[in-house]
Amino acid sequence: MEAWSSLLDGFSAALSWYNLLFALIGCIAGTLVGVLPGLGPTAAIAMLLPLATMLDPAPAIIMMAAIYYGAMYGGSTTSILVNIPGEASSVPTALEGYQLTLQGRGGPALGISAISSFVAGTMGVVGLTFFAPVLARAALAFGPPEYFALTFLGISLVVSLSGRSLGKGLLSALLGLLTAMIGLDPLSGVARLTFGSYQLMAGIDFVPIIMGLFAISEVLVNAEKKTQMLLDSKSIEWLPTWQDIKDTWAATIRSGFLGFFFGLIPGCSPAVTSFMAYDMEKRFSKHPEKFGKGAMDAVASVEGSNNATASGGFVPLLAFGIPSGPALAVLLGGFIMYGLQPGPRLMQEQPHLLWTIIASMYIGNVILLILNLPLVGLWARMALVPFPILGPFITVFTLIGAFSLRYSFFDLWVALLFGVVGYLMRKLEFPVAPLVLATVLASMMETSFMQSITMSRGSLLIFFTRPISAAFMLLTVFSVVSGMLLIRKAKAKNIELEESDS
Amino acid sequence: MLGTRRSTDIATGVFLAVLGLTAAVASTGIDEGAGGQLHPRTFPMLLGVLLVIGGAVLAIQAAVAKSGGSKAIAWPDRNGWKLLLIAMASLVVFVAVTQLLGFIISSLMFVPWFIRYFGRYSHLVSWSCAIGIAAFIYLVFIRLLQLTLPIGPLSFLG
Repeated sequence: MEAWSSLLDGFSAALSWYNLLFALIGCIAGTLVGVLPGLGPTAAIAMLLPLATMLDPAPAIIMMAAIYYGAMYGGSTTSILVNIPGEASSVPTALEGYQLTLQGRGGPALGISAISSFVAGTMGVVGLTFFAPVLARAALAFGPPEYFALTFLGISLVVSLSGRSLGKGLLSALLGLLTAMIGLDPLSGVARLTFGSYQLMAGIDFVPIIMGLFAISEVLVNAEKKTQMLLDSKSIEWLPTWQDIKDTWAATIRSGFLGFFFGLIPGCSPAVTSFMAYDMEKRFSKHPEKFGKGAMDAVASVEGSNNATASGGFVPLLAFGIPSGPALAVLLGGFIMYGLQPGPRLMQEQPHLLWTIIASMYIGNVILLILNLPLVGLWARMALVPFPILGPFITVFTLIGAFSLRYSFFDLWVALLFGVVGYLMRKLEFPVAPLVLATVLASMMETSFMQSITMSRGSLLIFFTRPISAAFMLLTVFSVVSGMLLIRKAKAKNIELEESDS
Repeated sequence: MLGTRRSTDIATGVFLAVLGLTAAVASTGIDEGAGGQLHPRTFPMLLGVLLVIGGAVLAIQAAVAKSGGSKAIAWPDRNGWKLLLIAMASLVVFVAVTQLLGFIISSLMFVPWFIRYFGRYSHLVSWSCAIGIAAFIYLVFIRLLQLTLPIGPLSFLG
């Protein structure tokens, strides 16, 4: 009851025109940085910090929070329409969404993405409203062994991401892990596989890798064929049908739960949960054979989980002052700038501010839905732009995105190199997703493994003697075994189909 | 020569094995860090060795496989190769020019060239797009989002 009355109190403050205005500005800015590849919410929040200093704490934090969850809405647009995932969390969306665009269903995919983002994002905020203190305590039980077990579970998704070519998927993942080893050792700071290059000492970031694998290789593939139009026909659908919504609602709800619970774990980014949601949906789906060829429920699941994770990340931030990722760390900086330290004391001393921010997140999700749905038709027209015009736009925005991450020209060359790698992987039928997943997880996996081994003085048993870690290890075994069974089943089905055709 | 799945899988397997071997050998030169239960070279070396094994398995499996190996790889035809190489060269030149002259000028060169070569559109279309993209870079990325993008001789605009 107390939560209800506090929330109502928060709504009355969040609905003031001043707070609404800054929620709207944050939502627009978030959508914009989400749409532009490479520009993440971290940079956008950091850029707007000077503006925030001129505001009162409530509108400033409302705006910065809206940029964060707004970026999750925008992230799907270029993934679905032109196969540019601006960040790792949009990679599974690109795998399915772009196929839907090629079938003239880019509009419905964008619509479903906006709706599932809204539903799952709101589910996350409900979780934040009613269960924050209890769940935050559970999240604190995560130590290095639990993180390692979680990343181990994450890496096991390679089995299902590989489709029918498990061997090639594993090689793709190995290549990703090896690429992530380049640079300084995360614990000792020793240079590894840098071959004396200063640029390699900074490591290879996964964003230019993703940009190259998806966007640049897309340009190369279409340049080779001298493609004039991405779509064969000019008839495209603008909005999702009721059938689409009916087909994807269960995936959206599941992704809301998964995204929120994993979002509670500090360090578990939307990139990790989006791959997990993709894998989960493949297992639950009534038509897993559609995965890789344009599965609408996969788009709903991945985009829903992104947004629910974003909301879940606010639980450890508000309850203990622990940011789940870089964007929330900058947001924490925003709190500190006003002399506010998120945590139990803030909950007691500034409950009004806290509940205003939480209430604004409900409103922000509604604003984002209203903002994004009408834009779907406009964005979907992008697929009708002739490729010779779209191609250079994709190239320029992709390379600016790759550059703006670390302001490094080296990253531009990395993007080009992985563009060629992506082109070859497509031709040689190597799945790209395992490489991305491995690159994203590698650093957390290695660091948490090293820390765990140091904690246990060299014993691997530490991963099996702690309950959460052991549960993740068990889930990993289940994920691998069931993934392999699914592959066998799919292969048997294909052989059956081939035999019945002949 | 690399027209079938069998031959490309063998070549890819060998390439990955060599890559893994290079990483494993390079890992032997990694210095020891301060403290810690594991040497910093442990993971790079392990991954290198696994890549050698994986690459070898791929190549051997492709060599001995009885079915599926004759499937043709969809390589481009002669004209396709030409277009592909021109696209790659354009991208390399674009990045190289960006380092010298910044994003705005390099885009003003790359965009009309790409549109004219791959689409045969008029100068009006190609230059409109180029100026549009240059204006977008300047107004949105540099002015609005305050990104410190290199703009070379146009630095007075920043």
